[in-house]
Amino acid sequence: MSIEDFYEAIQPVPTKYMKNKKVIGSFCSYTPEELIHAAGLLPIRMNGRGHKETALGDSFLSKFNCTFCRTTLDMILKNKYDFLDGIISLNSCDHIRRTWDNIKYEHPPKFSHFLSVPHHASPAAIKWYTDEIIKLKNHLETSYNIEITNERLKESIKLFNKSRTLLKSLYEKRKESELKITGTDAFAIIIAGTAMEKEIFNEMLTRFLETYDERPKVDYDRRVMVVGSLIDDIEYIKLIEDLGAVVVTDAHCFGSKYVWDMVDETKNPIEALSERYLKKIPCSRMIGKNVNHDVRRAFIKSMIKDFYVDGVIFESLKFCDLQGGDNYMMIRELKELGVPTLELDREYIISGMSQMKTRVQAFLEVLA
Amino acid sequence: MSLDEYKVKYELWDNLRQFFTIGRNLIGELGSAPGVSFNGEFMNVMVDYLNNLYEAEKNKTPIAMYNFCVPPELFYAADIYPLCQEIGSVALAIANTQTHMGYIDYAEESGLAREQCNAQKIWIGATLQDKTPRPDMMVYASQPCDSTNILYQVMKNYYNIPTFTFDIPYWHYDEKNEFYDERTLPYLSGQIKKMIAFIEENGKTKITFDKLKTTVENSNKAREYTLEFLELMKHKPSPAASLTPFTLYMTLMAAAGTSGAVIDYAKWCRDDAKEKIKKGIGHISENYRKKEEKFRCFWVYIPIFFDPMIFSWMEQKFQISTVMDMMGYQMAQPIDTSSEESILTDMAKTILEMPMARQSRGPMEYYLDDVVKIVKDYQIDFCIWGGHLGCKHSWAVASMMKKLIQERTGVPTLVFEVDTMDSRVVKGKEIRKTIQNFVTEILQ
Repeated sequence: MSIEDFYEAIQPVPTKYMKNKKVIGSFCSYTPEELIHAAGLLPIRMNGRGHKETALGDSFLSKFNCTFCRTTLDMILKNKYDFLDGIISLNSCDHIRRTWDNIKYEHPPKFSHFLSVPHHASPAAIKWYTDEIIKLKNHLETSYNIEITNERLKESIKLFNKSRTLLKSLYEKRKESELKITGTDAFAIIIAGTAMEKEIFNEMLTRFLETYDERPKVDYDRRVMVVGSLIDDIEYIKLIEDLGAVVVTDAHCFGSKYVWDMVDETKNPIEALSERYLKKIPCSRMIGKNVNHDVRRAFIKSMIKDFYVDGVIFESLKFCDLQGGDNYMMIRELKELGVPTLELDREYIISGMSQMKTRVQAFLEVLA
Repeated sequence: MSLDEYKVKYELWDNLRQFFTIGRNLIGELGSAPGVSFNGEFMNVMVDYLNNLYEAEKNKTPIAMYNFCVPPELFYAADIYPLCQEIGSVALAIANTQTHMGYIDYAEESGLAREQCNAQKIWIGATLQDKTPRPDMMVYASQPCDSTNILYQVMKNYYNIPTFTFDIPYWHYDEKNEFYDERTLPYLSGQIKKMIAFIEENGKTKITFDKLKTTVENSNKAREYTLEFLELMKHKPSPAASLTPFTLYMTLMAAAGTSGAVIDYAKWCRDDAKEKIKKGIGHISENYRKKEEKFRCFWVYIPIFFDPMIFSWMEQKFQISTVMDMMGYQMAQPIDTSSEESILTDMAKTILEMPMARQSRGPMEYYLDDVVKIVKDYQIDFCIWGGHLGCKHSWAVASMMKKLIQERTGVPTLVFEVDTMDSRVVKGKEIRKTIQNFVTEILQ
């Protein structure tokens, strides 16, 4: 299995992998994709890869909103997402939930659903989200005239867990000192998993892992971790690696925060989904007792240790209050521990690459 | 009292005390100044509230910091001093002593982004320099915005004190149904029960039913007067100064649950408005010679804190009464005190109905419905939306809302950018020019 096959899956939408089924786009890693799959649909993460404009999106949103939302809204308004059968949105953050308000009025999809995601992972919050997932289930069943039985859902959960297990074993390999995959290629694989059928993806990844040891060794001089919010463009990782470092791990919502935690296959499937999605490595929106900044910090610290990270690059989309604030705390805390850090503000559509390159280069020199 | 005597302990708090105390004394000497909403009764509430912090420290009363989407009644019922962070930040911007801009700069120099909201950055900047009182515990809600959510995490992280958080559910919109769905109230009242346990444990105190009832009855009195007053504001011409609804909001945010000044102020507002309506006089005709109210404005977003005199300038120059603003629009009703359960359920409603939170934590339709209702009920001629730069959720629907308000009511909306707490971004002079152009070109 060649790495290029994964790259085909992360081309601008719709890719060849989105042709065989009805496709449902979702805005956030808190969407229980297993349920969409169990309804016989293909869940993909909304993205703006390859799109270079925001003008129409800007006329509805504002220059104070993040460019991920402005880009995807621009695409929706320009009919580039008309291949979707539906969109599921959530109250992930202020930008995404309000982008949804605009989509509803200006370009409503055939199927649409909004999930109210708690900021806690308490028993009451898990119950709340369980009810939300049941509502989504009922909505999918009525809209697509299908029954999502517990058996079907359990099968989907198993499939998605398998995907997570495979991806985690890819992460495991990146702990080693002798690396046979760059961060760029690894990230391409992970993103591909958000943009294609899991059955095909799992098969591709299984074959890739089987031949992993035959791959050539990667030359690098420093091991870097990338922390942030929404990053789905390999160019940012490539920029870092072109300067001689290798990105060995991450903590963001297209990376480990998407992959890490399993759905308990022994429990009632809907409750298990609710629990997994609320208790997973938390996004900076979460403020509950067991899902807050302390948990994120502990996770990042363990990543640094386990992956032998030399330095951490914090990226944040401009105007992302949540990630900006979390980075602020994390950078101070890591500095106290003597971990070198770099903070990079960025726009979703790649810009200012040479300036970014200079900053990363200077950072890598510090690590050296 | 000399200026130095106000400088007791914490620069931020001391400045506020100085501003409100001097303001109150001045108004006491001069009588109420034309067009100024900050009258003596309002100042009384604020001065009491600010002074009580030092009393609390002296008496070793626990101090709980909370955000403006948490009602203060439970703290009062527990004999805990409720320190509303936003009162510190926002009121300092209103006082416009310039020190608040130094705090903003300090917070940004420490690494917080420029686009993060100053309603928290002012406090953080001052705290990093040890210029604020230190709370013993903290309570905050996930509403109304991401900035609140994350910057309270920053404060929690800094203080390292026991913290309780409210998860406010995102509401699904259904125009045929009640504002609250069947799941939301028990979800929230369950959290209030936990909050009570939290403050009892960390404040080493006990909230008895009698104490809770008395506190809530106090806040009910203030709220009843406030709601009556807001009804009177529908009268044409407006019987009260622009921003009076906002001042009532501020006093409830700080002191709802106490007896005395907060109730007196709300009653005074109600009685004064009633009296004016009875006599057939409006606020503008009473305060500006030979002038009558010409236009009625709804200020769709938060007021310009650093330049509240803009509102009296609008009254004087164009005879515009800003009869309502988003923060002043109170929807929460008095609480049923018949049982502990009814108190908690109604308190959950109060949280959901908090001004700004109500409009910000659900789909745009709730916001739009409120604006449309206000435009109709208060006979509004135009809306002004001074979009605060920190409020990304609001900016994301400003364009759509402007269009829909026009479509549904026929009323135009002026939208412009401003940082309501930092005059360096857009100056008051520029805002006046923008309003002047709008009024001149669109309305005259």
